[in-house]
Amino acid sequence: MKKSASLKLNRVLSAVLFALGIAVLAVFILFAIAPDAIAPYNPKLSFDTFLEPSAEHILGTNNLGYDILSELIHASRTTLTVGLLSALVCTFIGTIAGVVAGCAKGLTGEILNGFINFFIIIPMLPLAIVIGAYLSGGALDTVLTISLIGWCGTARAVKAKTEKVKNSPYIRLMRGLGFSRMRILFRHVLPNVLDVAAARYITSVASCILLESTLGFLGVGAAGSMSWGVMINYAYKFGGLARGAYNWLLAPGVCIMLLELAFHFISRFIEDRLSAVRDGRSKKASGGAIGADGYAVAGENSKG
Amino acid sequence: MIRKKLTGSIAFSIVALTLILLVNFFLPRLMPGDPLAFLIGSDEGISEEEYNEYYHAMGLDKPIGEQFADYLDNLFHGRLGYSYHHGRDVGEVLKEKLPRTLLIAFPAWIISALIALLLGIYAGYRRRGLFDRLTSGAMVVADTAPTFLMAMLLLIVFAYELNWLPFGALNSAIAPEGALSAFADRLRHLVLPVLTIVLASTPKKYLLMRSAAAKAADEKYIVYARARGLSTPAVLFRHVFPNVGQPFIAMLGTGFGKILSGSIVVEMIFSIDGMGTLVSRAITDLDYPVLQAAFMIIALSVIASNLIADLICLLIGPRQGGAESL
Repeated sequence: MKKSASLKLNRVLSAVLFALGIAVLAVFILFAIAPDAIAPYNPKLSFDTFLEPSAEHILGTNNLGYDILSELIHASRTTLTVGLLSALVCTFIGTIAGVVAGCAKGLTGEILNGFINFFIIIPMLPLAIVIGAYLSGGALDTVLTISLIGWCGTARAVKAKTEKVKNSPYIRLMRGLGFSRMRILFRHVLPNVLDVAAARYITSVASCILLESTLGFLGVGAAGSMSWGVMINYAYKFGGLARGAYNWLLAPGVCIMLLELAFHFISRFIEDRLSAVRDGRSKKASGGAIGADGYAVAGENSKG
Repeated sequence: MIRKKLTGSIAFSIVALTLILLVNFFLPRLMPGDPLAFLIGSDEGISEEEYNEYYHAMGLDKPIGEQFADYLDNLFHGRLGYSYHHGRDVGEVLKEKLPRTLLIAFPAWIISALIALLLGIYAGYRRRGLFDRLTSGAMVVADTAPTFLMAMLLLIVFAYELNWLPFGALNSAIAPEGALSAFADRLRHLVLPVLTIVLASTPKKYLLMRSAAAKAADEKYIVYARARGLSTPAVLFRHVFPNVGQPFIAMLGTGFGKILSGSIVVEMIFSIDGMGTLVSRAITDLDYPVLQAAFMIIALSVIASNLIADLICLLIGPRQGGAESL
């Protein structure tokens, strides 16, 4: 009895957090779509420098007298675009690599596997710094840098699912009936791993945004457009810490964290539902009970 | 079986090593732009004679095969590439800075491993209990916080506002006299950077350990161990951990590299003059040799620690094949 009550609580909690996550995400997406309509000032309008937060300037002003809230709202566009776009590329590469690695046998499979594992163990941040330093540093270059590195987690998840699908009776039957491998792969295996790929996309966006902001903070690709990470970089470089301008220094970081949390809750909710559906189908009740509160354990670590 | 796994992980390490070397060798030579600028990391302001001199010294006028042989030869002798900005070889610069980085990375690695293991195994074993809910919630929040935000928050709260701990560096400008007080001074400086890295690197390990322990908790052998009246620690460390601990150990292996790369951000904020600060400065200066050498050091240490973790897994694992859980 106690167990089922706790499970129910879990479900309600997960749904509430999901709704909160969607709300936060919606606000930020609105910021990104129409920054001019929402931001109180033009982000390049100069006021007095280092104003404290007040009614006119909710988050105060920075070293150049720009309104920080307006800058924040405008910067959300770069952050979100880079995150969504690079995660899309990552998911695309990762899905293809995962399906092929899951199906390929012999040397090709081994090589592809080794390649995926290689990218999983190599820390993302130093590699991203090296690659990012060679590129000229616009927003698109950041997307390219992140996409080159960030696909491996998706590839691993998709590969695991592919291996499961590959051994299911209907695929074996099709192989027996002599359908071509390509046809089986793209018409029958691929559609069945798309749920994993879609779930991974959300996690991927979160880690791409984290990596983007870390790169921005370190000044890789900072020559491009203003993102939240770049904002913190400037705040840090131009004495936000020494002047005690915490509003300037912390606001973008808090936004990044809110966004990360939102993505986390959304993906957890979806994963719960997916596993509930899966367990309902296979009638593995005990497995479902554990999966239901399983926190997503992402393979890659975008912090470094 | 064990033998196959062993050859597998050694082969993987060798291939990974080769890939790293190839990437490091070809990046500056194949990227669009002047390979010499990439190789020594200079911007403009270099005369034509100097240019030719460096061009020759870097061996760019030799065939590519010979260049690769030279590159390998240099590596074996600890020469990681000449940096124009530092006016000497990056290997020497790194030799100076690396100990300071390890001074925060090693303690952070050990502490975070211990915390993740102890909290994670207990939370998973008693999943959905109050302890599990609180710790897991806190870990999820810590996991979403960017490392730089965490570092700044700690710095602001404990150094700027409360004045409990120093702002940065590894010791006071005028080190206190006496070995003991100098040591205490060093410890006080280490608290915040180490704490930041621990906070940043623990959640992933914790969540992995927790989900592994949660899966094991319902297994028959665990129920039986409990029924025999074994204490909780005995159940956890004699029965749960040996059976489901391999992925955790594997993550410790790769985690060391992640801690090293996390220290890039942390060192910058706490102004510790180690490899991290070197890298963040090299980003602004576009000092490619430094960036590549640092990447190489981190990648090598990951490959090594990954191999060691694999070996440990093979040694302690009662059965192989349980490691496929995710």
